[in-house]
Amino acid sequence: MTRRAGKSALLCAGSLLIVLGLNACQHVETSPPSRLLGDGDLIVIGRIDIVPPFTEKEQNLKGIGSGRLKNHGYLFLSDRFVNLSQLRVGSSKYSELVELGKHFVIKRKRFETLHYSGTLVMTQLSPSPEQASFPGNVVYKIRPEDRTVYIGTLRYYRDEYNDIKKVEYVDEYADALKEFRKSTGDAKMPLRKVLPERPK
Amino acid sequence: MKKIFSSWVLIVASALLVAGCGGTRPFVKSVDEEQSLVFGYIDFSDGPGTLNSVVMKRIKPLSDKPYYYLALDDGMFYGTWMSPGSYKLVSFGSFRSFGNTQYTFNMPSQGRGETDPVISKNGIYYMGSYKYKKVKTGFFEEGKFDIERINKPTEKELLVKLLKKAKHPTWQAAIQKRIDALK
Repeated sequence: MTRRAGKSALLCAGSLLIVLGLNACQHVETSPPSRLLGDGDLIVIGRIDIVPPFTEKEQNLKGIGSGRLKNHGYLFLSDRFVNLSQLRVGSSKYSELVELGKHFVIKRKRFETLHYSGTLVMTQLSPSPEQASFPGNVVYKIRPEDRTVYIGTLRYYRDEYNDIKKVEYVDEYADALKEFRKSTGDAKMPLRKVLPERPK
Repeated sequence: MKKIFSSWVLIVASALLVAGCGGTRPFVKSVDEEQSLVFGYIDFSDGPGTLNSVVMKRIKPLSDKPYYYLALDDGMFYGTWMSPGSYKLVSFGSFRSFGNTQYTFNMPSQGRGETDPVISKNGIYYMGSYKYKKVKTGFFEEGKFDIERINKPTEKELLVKLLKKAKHPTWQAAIQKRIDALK
């Protein structure tokens, strides 16, 4: 087992700030009306559940702008897998901050294969940044005609050390469809269900 | 690795951190008052400078002051005042006077490792003996380290050292009882 030493805490803090900072700066359209979708865009509906959910004390987030991280996680969904234990500057472009335990409706670039690397939850910002990662390592096959897809609920069961005990895929399509209709105001756009697959 | 704090910053920071954590000097009050003894050893002979901090965090039940700064004696770390719960070794540190450098070694924040004790009831808990090892990395890569389980010093050898530090008779009796059980 290899651990990070000395300066890595500072590097980690630095990269964390960059990750957070970039996300703070970019314009995030979390529930765009489907008519505003560009040709290469895709609306993704899904949900991340952490069981048990993080308590106030488990997410020790103090500092400017930290409130938006409460009960939220960085969902890494893009055209490639991202190593969550070795995040690099700029990794934020592969992620989207989503609320945990609720259906999210997000816009991503459309790729033939959508890679879900996992979800990263900040559990502490100081004295040293700490996070819990909930791995994905699954892909979703997207069709060229897809504009909106439902990727399901991924439910992670954890213990107090944030060791993951079990991961479940749960189909909550009916609820997700309602949420999608509500947030986009689009009653016609079809929502196709795609199942997670192991990468080849 | 590089210099993290200058020494005066370190002194101030340590004072603030210790003020914010649970516990006080070990073995002063009775076993019932100080609850569990947790101890272990890190051979830091291959590390930079001298080991000067071992920090544990109680992660369940969580409190406003979850950090415990353990006492140190030549690689042996120990602490009392630890109530039942799940604990995690979060970091250890060293200081090298040449270059006036403080080093911090952060353990992985996720998952339970062998250095993370669960105290189910008051008692004496040995976390093990370990050796610090530096892991080679590239020129511009971050520093990495590993800690490896070692057989020496044994639990009994460490308890004999701790027995000399135990001032309160209830601690002397509890430690002696554990030594006898290990014979």
